[in-house]
Amino acid sequence: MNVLIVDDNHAAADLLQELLVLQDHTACCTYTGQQALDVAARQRFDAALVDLTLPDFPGTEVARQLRAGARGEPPLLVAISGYAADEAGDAAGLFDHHLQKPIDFDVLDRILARPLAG
Amino acid sequence: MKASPGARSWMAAGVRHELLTRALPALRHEMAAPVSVIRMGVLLLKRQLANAAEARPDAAAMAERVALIEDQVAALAGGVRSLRDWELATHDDGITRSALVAQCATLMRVAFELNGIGLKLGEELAPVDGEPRFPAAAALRYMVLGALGHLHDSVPNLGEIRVEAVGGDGLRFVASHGAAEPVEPIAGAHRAPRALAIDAIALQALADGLGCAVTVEGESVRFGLGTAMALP
Repeated sequence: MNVLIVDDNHAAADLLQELLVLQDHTACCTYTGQQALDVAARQRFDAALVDLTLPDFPGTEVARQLRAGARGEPPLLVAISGYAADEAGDAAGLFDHHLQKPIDFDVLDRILARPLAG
Repeated sequence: MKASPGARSWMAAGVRHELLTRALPALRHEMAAPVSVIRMGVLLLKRQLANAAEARPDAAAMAERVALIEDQVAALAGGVRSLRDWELATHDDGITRSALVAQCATLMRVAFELNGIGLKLGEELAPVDGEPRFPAAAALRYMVLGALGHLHDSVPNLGEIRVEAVGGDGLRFVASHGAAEPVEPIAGAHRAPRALAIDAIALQALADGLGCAVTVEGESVRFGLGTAMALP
């Protein structure tokens, strides 16, 4: 899968990218919401892993714009946050999945494998 | 039946518990971030070592990874130690007004902003050299969270809370209204209807328990930093 990572914690984003590459995915790191939207405007992604707390605007806004701006099938949207799902809220159904930090990689592997299997 | 002094202390303790509960997601978030990096770093090392038979591991890259993990362990240890900030009985070195406001604003900013509520700090609250430190830092943290929580819970259609300095040793929290149509809450749980709202009575009970003189005037809250006691 081609995965977009959006996390203002550079170390976390960079490690996540390396792990995904080791799993035979391709991954692109961005560190702000605007960077993510700029990259997504130029390139199609199968999935986006979005931190909910970004310096410029909320991860939910990134998700909303990724979904709205998708040409064709929108990317699989995965919220990643130190906050639990009921604290961070995805009431609007913006995200397909919510992973709480520290990320369980077995769960992430299963999430990213599912669309390919389907 | 009037509340006994013991009952009032329990009431103040209950308010502190509610405020700490509201701050907990941010406190957890601060500690989850380094744990997340540690876990990913260790997993990456394991996978690289597992592949070592096929590709010679890059020793410099691995050393860099270990250094990163060490940094994150230090950050996590700092986070664990900082939990003592919330213990009233702990002796502390006091806190400056700017650090107090910055710490509490950081804790609550995400919860507020996810619900379209701005949290603005006056320019006069920027740190400066030689700022005085006020004793009973834990009590002051609860008072700041109490003021923010009170305005959050009691002001209809809240758009912004502005925090201002009052003289050399006071703080004022001023609420202002948002757009006519409230922003649809993104994070419902952060501003869910609360069974335990920080109403004016709860805020007063908190302040009494901490020995702090608080004034609620309309949609603003004011208190001095020099009056809080170190022990409840």
